[in-house]
Amino acid sequence: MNISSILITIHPPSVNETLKSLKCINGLEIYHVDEDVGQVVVIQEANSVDDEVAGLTAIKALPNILYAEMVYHYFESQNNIVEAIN
Amino acid sequence: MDLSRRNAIKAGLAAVTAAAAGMPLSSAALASIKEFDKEWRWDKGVCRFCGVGCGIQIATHQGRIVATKADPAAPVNRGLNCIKGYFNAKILYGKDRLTKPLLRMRDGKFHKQGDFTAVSWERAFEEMQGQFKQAYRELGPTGIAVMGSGQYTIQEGYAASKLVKAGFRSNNIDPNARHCMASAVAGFIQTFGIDEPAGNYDDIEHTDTMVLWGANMAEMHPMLWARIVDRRRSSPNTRIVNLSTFSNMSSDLADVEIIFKPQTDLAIQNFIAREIIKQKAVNWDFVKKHCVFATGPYDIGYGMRGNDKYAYASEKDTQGKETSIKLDKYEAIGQRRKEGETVAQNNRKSAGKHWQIQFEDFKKGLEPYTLEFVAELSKGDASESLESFKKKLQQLADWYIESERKVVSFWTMGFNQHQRGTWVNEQAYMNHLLLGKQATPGNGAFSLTGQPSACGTAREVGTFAHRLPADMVVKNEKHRQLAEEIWSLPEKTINPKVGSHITKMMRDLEDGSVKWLWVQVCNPFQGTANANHWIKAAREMDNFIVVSDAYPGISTKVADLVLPSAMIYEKWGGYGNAERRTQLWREQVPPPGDARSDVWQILEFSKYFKLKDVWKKQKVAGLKAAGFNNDELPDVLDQAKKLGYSESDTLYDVLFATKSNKQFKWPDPIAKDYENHTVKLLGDNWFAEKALFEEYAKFGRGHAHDLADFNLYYRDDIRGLKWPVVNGKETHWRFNEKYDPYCKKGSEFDFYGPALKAIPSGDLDGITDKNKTKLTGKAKIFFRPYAAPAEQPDDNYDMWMITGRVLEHWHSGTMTRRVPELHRAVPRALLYMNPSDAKARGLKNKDVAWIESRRGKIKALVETKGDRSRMPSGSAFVPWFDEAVFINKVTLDSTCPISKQTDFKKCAVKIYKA
Repeated sequence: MNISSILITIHPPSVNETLKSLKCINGLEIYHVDEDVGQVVVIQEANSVDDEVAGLTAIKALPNILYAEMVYHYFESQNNIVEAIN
Repeated sequence: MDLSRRNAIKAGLAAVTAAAAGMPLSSAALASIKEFDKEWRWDKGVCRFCGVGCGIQIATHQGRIVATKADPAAPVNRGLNCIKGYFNAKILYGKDRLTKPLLRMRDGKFHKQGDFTAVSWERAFEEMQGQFKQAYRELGPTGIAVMGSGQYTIQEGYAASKLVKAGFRSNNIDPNARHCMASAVAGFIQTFGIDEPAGNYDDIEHTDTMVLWGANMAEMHPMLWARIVDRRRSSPNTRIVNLSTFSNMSSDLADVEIIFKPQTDLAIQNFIAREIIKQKAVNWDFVKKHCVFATGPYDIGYGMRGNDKYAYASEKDTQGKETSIKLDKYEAIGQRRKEGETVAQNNRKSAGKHWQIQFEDFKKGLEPYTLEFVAELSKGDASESLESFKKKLQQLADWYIESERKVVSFWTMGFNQHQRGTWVNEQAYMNHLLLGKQATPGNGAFSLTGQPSACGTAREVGTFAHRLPADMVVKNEKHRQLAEEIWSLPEKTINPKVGSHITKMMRDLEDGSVKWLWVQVCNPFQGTANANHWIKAAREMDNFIVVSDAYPGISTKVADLVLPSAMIYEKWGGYGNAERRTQLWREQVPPPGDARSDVWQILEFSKYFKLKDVWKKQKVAGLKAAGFNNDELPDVLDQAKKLGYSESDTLYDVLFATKSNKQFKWPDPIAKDYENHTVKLLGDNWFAEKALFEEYAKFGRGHAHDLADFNLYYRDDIRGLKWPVVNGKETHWRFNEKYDPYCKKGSEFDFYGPALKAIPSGDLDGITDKNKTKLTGKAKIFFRPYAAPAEQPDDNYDMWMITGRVLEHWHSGTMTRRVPELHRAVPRALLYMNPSDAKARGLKNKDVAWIESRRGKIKALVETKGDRSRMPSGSAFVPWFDEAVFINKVTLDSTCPISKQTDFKKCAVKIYKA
């Protein structure tokens, strides 16, 4: 299991609409929202690194997303990383 | 892991991220930051991927990396990371990591056609040194070569350079950074007399106009892009222009996108300069005080071989242009000559020479570059109207000129990988200097880099065939003497003759003039243009090729000996980024198996050489000109004895484990509880990385390249320092008296770089007065004309081929391709084409197509819908990361004749259904 934080910047007028879409992405939890500037922090939990990046790609593909990148990444165990890579 | 622990981690991760972004946090969220990761050992590091130099925090627990995060205290990336940063830890753990030396063997012996067999380090070095000595005996110092990298740590590059230049008395060391920013270097040296940018990344927040010239920053420098996005959002007056040969992700935010034909950026810059003069916008106060006008010869060739002995029949027409060209219409107008005129390339060997001209000459040179002429020449998208394109060019010039507007021009490979790369770099300074918009916060021409230590190591340490540390060069006698003094070498140990640049090294392998090659921290057999030649040379000629790497790639495949290398956080090291920021890190985890740091490999290898093996008399052709008798490097063993050396001392004793270096003892308090496998294996308890850093720093201190003390970079509150660091203070903007302690008092601006600051005078056609004028403190404003590319589409090879990177892969992908999700995001390099070009060739999206040039052909999947790389009709793009889509078999090994940097951005191909 890997856990990552993702910082997202949304075109401010579309924050609420985009939050709804974000909620539909598997494994995402919304932690912090600043509606005025359009910033959102989400946590993504995924069984494989692959799922995790698919999640990030899905976020980036949403309309009105100006920026979305992983900031903090936790590897539950090294074996886990190796398995994910294998 | 129990649920509460998992929830604590999640809340902590989220809170740290929100805090980094400056979002308001509740007290509960703030509390969660303090708790969840307190067991982990955190340390600062720097990203090992691109040249931006983002700060990363690395957490280790029980001997392994458990987490990484963007460093909130890092001024470069301010708590944010891109996807490459995220993989810094993961790249250490790929399943095909090289962990043992591998030698090609048959029947227990080395055999060039043998199979890779795991051997001990001792056996590897034994073979390597035997092969070295054989080549060295036969061919002398020019018969061996080392290919280095802008990914060398500072200490690795320094050790390699010292071993080659001082130990082996050869200048055949050159980095793959040659392919990355040599044109930027030549542009800096010719214009300012000193390398590297005046400004820093804070220019983004200080400016209101950013012009991207062949720099797709949204994909290649995402963290700088994040800052640009913020600037654009928070300051409504900010304007962004993206100039490119195809539409890319950076265009999404740009106010104006200008799609131009390959190489016509030369003409566009001249149009801007002409417009500056026409609109009477020259900042005469600045120009008169701080600048002179200059130009150089046009007939300088294209950096290809001067003969066709090794060219395939199909290559000979392009190669022939190296010595003679027929001017096309635009080139003729731009150079004030006649279309169809044949021009012998007489200044191929003196491409960089230049002379001072008067403003009137400069103005005359620019005269042909009217809006009409430049628009017709440079419009790159057939579907755009000429009127629309003209409007954009005018808008671009107007934004540069607008007096209230600050302007930063950014560029990377679009300028640098260019057959006139040095010229186009100089032209960027031309416009900024004419306007006086240079070297102040928010104003400046800013060359970005592609590799993490292209600046810090390749350039500053000087791991180039012509360089010594701190901008010194081997052909300058005073510079050699200074290096010999710092290195305690006998006089005339250092070879004055410039060695082979990295592409020439490949040509040397092919013609048999280099027979021993050591590749360090790079993948040149994938990364060098016209690769079919070099792969054949490596595998079929009588030579011995050593490749040090962490993962298998094309270069390890063609090697005779593969050495397993430690990666970024498995060793102590330092990098320098594109804004002169030097950042150092500690070894966080041990390397796997028998993998070892490059510092250890270089130092351990040096133990196999006694002074008498290398410091005897050596014949080297071409030394007479440098004042060496009979084309000889003299025997310096007698002098060495006077310095206290014995001829059986090893290069390790004399170059590395010196008395003064051994004063840096290990353990050192700066290490805290972090290990150092390099020191442990060398076994004599001196802190190699610290000693090498301090010795290297002697070159730059007092010479405007001052680095701080090694220890200062490790202080908890320091996130790298921008040199020159004088009295513990870094320099934010160079050449500006307000910020730069090296500027003369009262000068306001002082372009104090010392190189090439005495030049003759003349006019646009040549030198008229050989007497040299001194240009102390001045920068040069060059006139450079448009020059047509050496190879352009014709009836047979009818499309432009452009190569480059994509966001998810870095360089040849030996690291990022280990991580499967990156691999899947861009599963293989695609052939991006305009739908109309595909249709005309009977190709559909995802069809397999052949891409064929005069040099080779490969297959790739057609992509016509590319939402990030949208090609104008007539041009195609293939990223070069994928060894299965080996585009460098197709590309042309033409270089800028001044910088010797390859132009990977343009050659002619035909594309047809496979």
